[in-house]
Amino acid sequence: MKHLLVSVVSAVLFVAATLEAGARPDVSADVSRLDIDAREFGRGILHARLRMPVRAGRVILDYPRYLPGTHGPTGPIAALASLRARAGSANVPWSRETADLYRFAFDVPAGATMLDLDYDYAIRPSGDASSSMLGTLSWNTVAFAPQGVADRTFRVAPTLRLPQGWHYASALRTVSQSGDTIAFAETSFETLVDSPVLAGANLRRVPLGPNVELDAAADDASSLQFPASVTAGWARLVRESDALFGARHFARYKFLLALSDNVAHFGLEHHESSDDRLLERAFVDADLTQRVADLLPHEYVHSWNGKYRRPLGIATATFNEPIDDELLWVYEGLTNYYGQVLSFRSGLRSRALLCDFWANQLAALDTEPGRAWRPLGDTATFIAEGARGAAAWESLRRGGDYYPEGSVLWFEADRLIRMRTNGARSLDDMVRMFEGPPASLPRVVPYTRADVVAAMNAVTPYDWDGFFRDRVDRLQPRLTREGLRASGRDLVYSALPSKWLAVRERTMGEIDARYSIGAMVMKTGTIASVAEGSPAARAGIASGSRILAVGGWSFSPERFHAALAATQRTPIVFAIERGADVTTVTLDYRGGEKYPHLARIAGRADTFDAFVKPRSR
Amino acid sequence: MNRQFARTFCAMVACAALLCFARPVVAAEPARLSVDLRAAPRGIIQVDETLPLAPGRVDLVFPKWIPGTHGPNGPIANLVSLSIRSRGQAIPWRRDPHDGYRFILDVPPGKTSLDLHFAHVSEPGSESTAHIAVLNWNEVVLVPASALQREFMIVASVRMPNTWVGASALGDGSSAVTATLERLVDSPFLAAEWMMSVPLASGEPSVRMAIASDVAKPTIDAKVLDHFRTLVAQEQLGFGGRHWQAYTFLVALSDTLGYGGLEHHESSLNTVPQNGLSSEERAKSFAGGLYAHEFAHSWNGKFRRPEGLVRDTFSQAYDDRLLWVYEGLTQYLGDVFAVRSGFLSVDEFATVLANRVARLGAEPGRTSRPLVDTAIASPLSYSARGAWSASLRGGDYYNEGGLAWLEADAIIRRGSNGTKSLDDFLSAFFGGVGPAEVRGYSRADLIAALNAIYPMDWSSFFAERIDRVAPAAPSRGLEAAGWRVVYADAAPDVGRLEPRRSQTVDARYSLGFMSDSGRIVDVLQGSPAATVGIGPGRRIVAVNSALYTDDVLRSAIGGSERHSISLMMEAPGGRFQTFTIEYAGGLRQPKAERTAEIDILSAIGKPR
Repeated sequence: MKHLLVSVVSAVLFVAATLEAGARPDVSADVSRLDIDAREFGRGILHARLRMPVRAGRVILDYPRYLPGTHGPTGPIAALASLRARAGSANVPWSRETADLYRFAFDVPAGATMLDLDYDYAIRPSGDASSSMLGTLSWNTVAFAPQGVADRTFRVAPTLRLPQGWHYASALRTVSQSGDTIAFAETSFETLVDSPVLAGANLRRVPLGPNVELDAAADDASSLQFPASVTAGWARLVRESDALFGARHFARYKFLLALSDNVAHFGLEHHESSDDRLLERAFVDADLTQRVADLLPHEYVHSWNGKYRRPLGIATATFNEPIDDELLWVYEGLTNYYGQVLSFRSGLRSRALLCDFWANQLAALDTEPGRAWRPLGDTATFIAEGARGAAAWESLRRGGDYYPEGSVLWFEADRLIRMRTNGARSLDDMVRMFEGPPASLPRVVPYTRADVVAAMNAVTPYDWDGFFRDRVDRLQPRLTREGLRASGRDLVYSALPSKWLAVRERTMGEIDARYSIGAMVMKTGTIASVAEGSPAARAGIASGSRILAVGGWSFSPERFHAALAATQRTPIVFAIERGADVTTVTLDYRGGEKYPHLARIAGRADTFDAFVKPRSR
Repeated sequence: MNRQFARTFCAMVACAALLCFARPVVAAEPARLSVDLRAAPRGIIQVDETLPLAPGRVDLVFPKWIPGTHGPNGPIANLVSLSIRSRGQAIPWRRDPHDGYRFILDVPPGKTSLDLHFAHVSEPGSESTAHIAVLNWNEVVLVPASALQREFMIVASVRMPNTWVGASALGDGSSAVTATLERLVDSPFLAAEWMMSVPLASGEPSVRMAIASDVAKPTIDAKVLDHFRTLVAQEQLGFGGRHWQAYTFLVALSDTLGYGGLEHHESSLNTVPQNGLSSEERAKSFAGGLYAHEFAHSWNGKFRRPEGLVRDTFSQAYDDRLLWVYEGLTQYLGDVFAVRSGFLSVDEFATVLANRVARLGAEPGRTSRPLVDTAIASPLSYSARGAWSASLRGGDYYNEGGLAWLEADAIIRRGSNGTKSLDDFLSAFFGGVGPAEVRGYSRADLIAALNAIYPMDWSSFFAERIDRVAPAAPSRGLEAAGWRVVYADAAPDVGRLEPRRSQTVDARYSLGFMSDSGRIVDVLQGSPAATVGIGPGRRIVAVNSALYTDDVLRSAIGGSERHSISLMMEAPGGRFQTFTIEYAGGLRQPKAERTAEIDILSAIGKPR
C-alpha cells in the first residue's frame, strides 16, 4: 500500500520532466546514466559518474542504506569519497542532512537539466570486495537515487569499465562491449542493486542446467579446477531445486563466485544471481568443500524464499526506508533449513557427515546460556551491528540464531507434517504451495505471519500458530526435541570424535571443547570463547587469553586433546597468558572429551534422514 | 536568544513525550541500581535494577546517543541476560522492531515496581583487564523512555572484587550514591587492584588524579605531576573560572586497554600505556591531545555545548554540525595549555602544528569535502581510518577546526597589538565560577561573542574555512602566528609528540604514501605511488633489490642519486608485483620555520 503510493507519485514526477538525452544513444531522456570506472579495482578504489536528469531547485539524493539480504542499515556510506557535483560547467555545492547521513542535498541552478556527480568508493584492502585479481561490484556502493522515488521506478543505464583483460559475469543484460567497457541494458534501480557484477583476470563459466550457470573468479586459475563431483553436485542442486519448488521465478540465474582469501566471505542472495565470496581453495580442498557445501544451496533457495516471497516488513519501496526484521526466522530460517537439506539431496555435503552435522547444530543451540533470556524472535527483530561473529560472548548474546534455530524449527515442523500425514506429505508441500507455481519473472509477493500459518494449515491442519508462538516468541531455555525423538533419534554426548567437528578443526583451526570444559580453543592456544557457568568460566579463564602449556608441556592441539581425554583420571592444568600475567589454573572437570551425536532410540523406527532423500530423477 | 529557544524547544519535546506515554514516571522514588564488578576481569558485569513504575505499558530504553562520542554508540549488543520481574512474577518483554534500544512491556495491575536483572559483556581487554575495570554507567542502565536525564534520580552502588578499590567524581564506591541519570552517566567509575590518589591542587576546589595500573607501583615521574598541577591552574586562568565543584583525572595505566579519553564535567577518563606517566618525555605524547584536551572539555563541551548536543534523553539524536567548535577549539586549547603548563615547548607546539597543516594540506579529500561535513558525519569518522583515509578525511573537524581557532587567536592578537587574545573570548564565553550545568549555544552566539571581543566579519571567516570546500592547505593560522611549513630531508620527529603510531615511514610528501613496517597504510590519490598503481594494504618486500627495512626505504627516497625507485610488493592475497617510481625529490618531511615577523606562537604559549 505504502510503496504503491510512492510509485504513483514518482511516476508522475518523471513523466512531467522533459529532459535532454544522455550521450548514449539507447538511453532515453528520463533515464540516469551511471558509469563506473573499475580500472583500479585491484588497487582498491572505484570511480563513479552519475548523470541524472533534474530540474532546477533543491535535489535530494539518497545513498542506499537498508540493503536487501543484509537485514540492516549496512550501506557503506563511510567509504564514499571525493563527491563532487556539477550542472553543466557550474560547480554545485552539496550538503549532508544532519539527521540522515545517507541523504545529500544539491541546489541545482536555474536552467540546468542535468546533474553530474563524480565520486569514489574506497574498498578496504582486505576482507571486502576485491583482491589484486578479482572484484565484485555491488551497485549500491556506487549509486544514489532521488529521495522518495521507488526503486522500481528510477531508471538507470549503467556502464562498467574493467581493468585490461579482466572478464565479467552478471545477471544484467549486456547491450554492447567496446574494449574493456561494457554497456548494460537500462534497468530499474531495484534490479541494478539486485544484480552485482563479478569480474576478474581468471573467470570460468560452468553451465549447471537450463538457464542456470556458475561463474567463478579466483586469484589463481588453479583454484578453478573443480572436481567433477563438485560440478555434478551443483548441477544436481539445480535439478533438486526445480523438483522441490516446481516453478522458477527468474528467467535465468547465475552463481557469481569469487574465490579469494582476501575478500570478505559470505553469500548474498539476489533474484537472478547470488554474490558468493569464499576462500580461494573452497572447491578444490575436500574438507573446505564440505564445510561450505550449503552456501550455494542457501543462496539459491533465497531466490524463491526471500526475493520472490518476502516478509511484508522487508518489502519496502526504497533502500532508505527502515525495515522490520521480525520474520527473518522464515526468510533466513527456512532458507537455512532447505540450504542444508539441498546440500545433502544434491550430494554436495556427504551423507557421512549428516548426523554429526545435525547433532552439532542442535547441541550448540541447546547448550547456549543466552536462550534463558532471549526468545528466538528477538534475535531476528534486533540484529546488533557487530554482534554476529564476536566470539567472546556469543553464547550469551545468541546473535543470528534465527539461522540455525530456524533450521531446527522447520525440521520440527517437517517432522510434524510427516508424522500427522503418515509420510504422505512433508514441508516440501508447503514450500511448493507457498513459493512454487505459477512460474514468473522476478517479482515480489509479500507475506505476513498469518500467511505462513495459513499455508501450513493448508498442508496439514494443526495449531501452527501456537507452534510458532512457543518456539519464536516465548523463551525456550532448552531446545524442544520431540520432533527429533519422534524420528527415532536423540542428542547424546560421548567421547566418540565428531566427523563434522573434525572438518571444522582441520579447516578453521578451532578445537570445539564447548561440551566438555566450555571453551572454544584455537589451534594456536588462544581461547576464542568461554561459556558462562562452564568449568572454564568457573576457573576464571577469560576469552582472548592464550594457553601456553597443558599439563606442564607447551601447548599443541594433540596435547590438548590428550589431556582432555585423560581428565577422567587426571585434572587438566593450564598455564595461561593474559596481558602481562601468566597464571596456572586447574579445571574442576573430570568428564573426558565430549562431542554431540545423534543416537538411535531403541524400539523406534529410524526415520531421521527422510528429509534428505533426493526428489529429482 | 537562541539558547532560550533551545530550552523552549526541549521543554516542548519533553511535554510531547509525556503526552505520548500518558503516564509520567512517578519521580518521588528513585530507581536503585546495583552493579557487580566481581567478574569484570572476565569481561562481564552483572546488574540489578529496581524501577518504581505504575501498572500499564512501559517502554524501557538503553542509552543510545552517548555524550562525548558524538554518535549512537550505546553498546546495546553487549546487553545480555535481561530478565524482568515484578514481585517475583516474570514479565515478558519485546523489542521495538524499529529501535533495538527500546523494550516494550506491561507492568501488571497492582504492581508498583520492576526488578531488572541483566549483564553487560565486553571483549576481555577492551574495558577491563585482570587488574582494572572501567564502568560507564550508560552501559548498565535501563530507564523508562519518558525519564528526563536531568530529573530522573538513581541510587547507585558498586560491588568490586575483594581488595579492589575505586574512584569516580561521585566517590570511591564504598557507599551508594544518589544522582540524576545525567550526572551518573557523566561520572564513570574506575576500579582496580592497585590505585593511588594524587592531589593536584591544594585546598578548595579539590582536584586530584586517581591512577589505576595493571602493574603495582608503576613508575610515575614527579615532574609530570608538577606539570599537571600547573595545567589545573592554567586552564582555570585561561577560561576565567570553572564550572565544577571538584575534578578528578581518572587515569588507567595499561598496555592492554586501548589508548583513549572521554570527557566529563567533573572528571575525565584517560587510558594510556603502562609508562604513560613515567617520564616528561613520555608524557609529551598524551599532554595536549589527551590530558589537557579532556580537561578543557569540562568548559568547552560539557558546560557550553552546541545546542544540537543538548538533549533531555539519551534516545534523542545529535546534530553534530558544531563539532569543529566542541572538538576543534578543544584540540587547539589542549596544545596551548600543554605548552603553558610546561608539558611541551613552543618549538614542539610548532612541530605539531606544522605537521597538521602539512597532513591536511596533502589530503586529496579536501578538494571535494567541506570541513563541516566531517563534523556532521562524525559518527562515520571512526571507520574512515587507515586505508583511503586521506581521500575520506574522516575526523578532520578536530585538527582543521583547531587550526581555524589558531588563526582566530593570531588575528585577534595581531589586530589588537597584543592587547587582546582568544583568552578574552574564552573568559567571556566559558568564564565565571559555578556548579556543573549545561548551556547550549548556536553558531550565532559564538560569532556574537567573538565580535564583542574583536569585531570583524567572523561569519565569513568561518563560512570560508568551515562550510566551503577549501582545497589549499590550512596554513594561514600558522603563518599569522609567525611560522610556516617547510620541507626538508631531516625534520624534528613528530612521532614522539603523538599518542598513536600509525606509520613508521611517512612518505606522503614524497612518493605519496604512509607505511607501517613496510605495509602501505594509505596512498594519496594523484601521488607518484598512486600513479604507478600502488594501493593501500600492499607490503613492500624489497626496495631497489634490497630486503625491506624502514631505513632502506628512507634512504632510497632521501639520499639516493637515482631517479627511479623500484618497489617489489606483495598484494593482499599474496601476489607479487614490482613497481618503478620515477622520483628524485628527496624525503620531504614537514618542519616548522620562524618567519621574520614577531612570534605570536610564543605569546600564545606563555603561561598566564
